Amino acid sequence: MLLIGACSLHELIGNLAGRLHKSQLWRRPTIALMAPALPDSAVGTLAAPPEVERYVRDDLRKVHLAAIAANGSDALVFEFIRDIATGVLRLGESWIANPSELIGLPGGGTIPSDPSGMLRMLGLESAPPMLSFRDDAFLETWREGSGGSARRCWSRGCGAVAGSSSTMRAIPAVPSGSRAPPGGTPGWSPG
Amino acid sequence: MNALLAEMIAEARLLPGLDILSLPEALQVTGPDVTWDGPYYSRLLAEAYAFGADRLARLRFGPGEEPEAGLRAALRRAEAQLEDRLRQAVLTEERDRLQAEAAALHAALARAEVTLAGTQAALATVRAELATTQAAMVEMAALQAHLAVARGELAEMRRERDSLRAAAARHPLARLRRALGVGTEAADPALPRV
Repeated sequence: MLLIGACSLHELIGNLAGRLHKSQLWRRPTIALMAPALPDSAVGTLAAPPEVERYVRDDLRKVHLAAIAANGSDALVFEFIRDIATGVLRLGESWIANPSELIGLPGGGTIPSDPSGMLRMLGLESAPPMLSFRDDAFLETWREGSGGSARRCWSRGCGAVAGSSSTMRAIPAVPSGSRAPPGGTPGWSPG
Repeated sequence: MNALLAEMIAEARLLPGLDILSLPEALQVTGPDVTWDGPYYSRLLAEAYAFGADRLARLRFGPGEEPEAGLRAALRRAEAQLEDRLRQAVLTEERDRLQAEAAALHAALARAEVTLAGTQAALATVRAELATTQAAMVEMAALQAHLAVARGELAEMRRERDSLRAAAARHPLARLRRALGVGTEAADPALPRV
């Protein structure tokens, strides 16, 4: 089972620990997840803890849809609270998750939550446009990402979508810690 | 935020092959007193997560899955935790009572030690005074003994003096002098005055 979400989903799935094998993409808001890839040069020299740097690089390269398709999980579980809790930054013609809102990212160290700290972390000189759930344009942008882009992607077979009961099949229970730590692998990202 | 989520969920319902797993809003804890450091003052109860996990398990493992088993387990855990907290509270209360008693005993002991030290100091003073008094009494007894001896010696000397006076009065020369009327006007300066 592949999870996309933050602590709410992490805690919910924790109740099924030992009964399924799971991996978790930490937050990865829909708008950034479905946006087109960017070159690494879209940001400056990153000054972030290693896990955050990897998170941002993977976000720029948009490696996750292909990784989700190749993951082999027979169900994808995601929640929308991550879209509420994690704003996005406009870079070029794309979006990335606001790295200063990655609260709870394991290995993330101390993540600056102020705008200037975020700029230093990304090596940027000026603040890129930000979009949060409070903005009027949020829902339409999200709808384009989750609806339009997702439909186009899924129609091409980019990945499995939260499985219906008719498509689910049982997965043998995995002893805790044998393939994944208890509660999954927050922050997991391929590449 | 809830209105926005409702719109997002409504949008998601249009996607194919998607099951929506929703939780009752009543299971959400909201308010500034909620202990969590996220950007929003909301959090689900542990039992709500278990409830959601049960629903997900039924989706995932099929209708044969025991409904709400996880929720019941979570409630049992919560009950056990509550009992444990109550037991800890009782133990804590008992510990605090014993600590208070021990503190009172220590304080009483400290006061008693202070009193004892004062008493011992007073006793030492009394003993020193007693020793001084006893030494003075011994010295006084010795002086009294000396005085008794001196008095005895003095009485002996007086008796000897009187005896000498009587013998002198009976001496023929004294009778002669009395007959001649010599030496009666003044006492003999050679004789001691007592």
